[in-house]
Amino acid sequence: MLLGTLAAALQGAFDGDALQQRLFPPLIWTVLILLSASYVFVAYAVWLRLRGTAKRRHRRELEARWQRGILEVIAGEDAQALLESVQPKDHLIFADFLLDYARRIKGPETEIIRELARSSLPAVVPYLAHRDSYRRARGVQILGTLGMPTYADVIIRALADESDLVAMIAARSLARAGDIRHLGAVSARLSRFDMWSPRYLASLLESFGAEAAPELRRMLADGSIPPSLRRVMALALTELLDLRAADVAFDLLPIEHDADLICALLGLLTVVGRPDHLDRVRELMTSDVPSVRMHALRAVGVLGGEGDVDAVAKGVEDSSPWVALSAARALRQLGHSERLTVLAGSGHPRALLAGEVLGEGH
Amino acid sequence: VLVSEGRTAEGAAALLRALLAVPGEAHGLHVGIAEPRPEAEFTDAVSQAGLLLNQSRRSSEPGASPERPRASESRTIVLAEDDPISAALVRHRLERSGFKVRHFENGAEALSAIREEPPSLVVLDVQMPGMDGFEVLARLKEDDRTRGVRTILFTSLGSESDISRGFELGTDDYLVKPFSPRELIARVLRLVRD
Repeated sequence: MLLGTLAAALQGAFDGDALQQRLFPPLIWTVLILLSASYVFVAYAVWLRLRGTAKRRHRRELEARWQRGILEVIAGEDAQALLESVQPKDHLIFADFLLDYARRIKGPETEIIRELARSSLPAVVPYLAHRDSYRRARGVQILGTLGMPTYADVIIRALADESDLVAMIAARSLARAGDIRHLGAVSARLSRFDMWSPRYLASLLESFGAEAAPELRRMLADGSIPPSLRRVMALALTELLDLRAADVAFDLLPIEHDADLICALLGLLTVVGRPDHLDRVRELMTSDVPSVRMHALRAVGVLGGEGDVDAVAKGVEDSSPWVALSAARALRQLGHSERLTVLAGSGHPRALLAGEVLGEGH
Repeated sequence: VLVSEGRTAEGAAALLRALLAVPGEAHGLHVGIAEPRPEAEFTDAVSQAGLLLNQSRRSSEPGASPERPRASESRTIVLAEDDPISAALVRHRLERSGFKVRHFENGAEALSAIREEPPSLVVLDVQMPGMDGFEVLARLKEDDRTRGVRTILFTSLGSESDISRGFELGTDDYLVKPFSPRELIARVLRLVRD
């Protein structure tokens, strides 16, 4: 209607006296172009919406059709009829739908779902080149959950995806599969995941299981690897309760300078260390770095003995309340709560802290 | 007769007796190996046997199908679960084992339905919109009409403190997601047996 009005106005312009001056002035051209463009955009938006609605409806219909069959197959029925009902163009949706089931169950039924998905997974591989990173991530998740170890190479390639999310899901998939052969590929890409916490990355490596320990020890001892990554290795070895890592940590303590790494080494020794590792730990109770003193006191509290009580008690006087807290807990662990009782009943600045630690013991 | 792959008759009998907590011979229970079948069928057979045994205890009326008990004879289970996929998995497996399932997507509706007509068992998701599973459980145990209803907490909260909290509130069992449907059925049967 608006275009019609404008056309009429243009017609009027032709009828006027100053035809040359009024013919198609730039303003009218601009309005015409903008209006046309807006009509095109509106039509495109409507088309996109309709297409999206149709896709969602199609997917809902497919899922409703498949659900009963999937549940029956999971319960032990034959899968042939269900698999034959999946059209080639719907393999991607089918695999995506199966992922929802695979994520919710464990045990032998998981293998049934993986078998159901097997013929649909080739349709997922091209999805990993989609321009939308969330769709690539979903593709990696499907292949990582339902297609390992067959699609391990595809997942390894996804470690180099430009999206950190896609790469992390690929790393998680490889780790969850527990195949130690992929540890090298994952650890080589670990530096790109600096936005994730070291503990999260350590748990990622720990997912590879105890077989990963020798490689993690080697990387922990490798001075050419950045300390931030070696810290992750130390945390992972702590999670794995790797007893042999204690000697590696002991050897590294006097030569490392990165405080975070030293703290991770002390944490490792706290969990898997032995009393003969204490000499180097004790030295760090007087470190200039509060976090190092805190971790050293914690380790001494676990590994130490009567000879450490006085030095640990001094730690309660530390200017850092966190170090003092660690020292107080260490005192309690060493069996000298009576010192805390005396402190708690005094007017000492750390009296309140001593009382809190005594309360933790009950 | 149970079907089993890789199990001996003795092993199958021991498992069945453990699940049903009965001395097999005392109940005239005969266990044998029919032919190699998928493991799923073995578990289903155990489930079915347990259910049938429970039904035979309640009534000596013949007619129950050896494959699947009729719905009118099955016990009712209330399932409170807001996740549609988990709900479908649980519901299908329970119905397949002969139970009648009433499904609710939130705790308040489930609580109301349980109070109105106490079921044999409640499978209760913990994380639900509105009233969560812990609260539903607490209210069930406060009410004389529903205190005796058996419950299984069914949740992704698998920490020691969450599990402890569930048992402190009085749940009979606790199943962590992701879950094994076979394990769920075994636990359900153990509870409805009594």
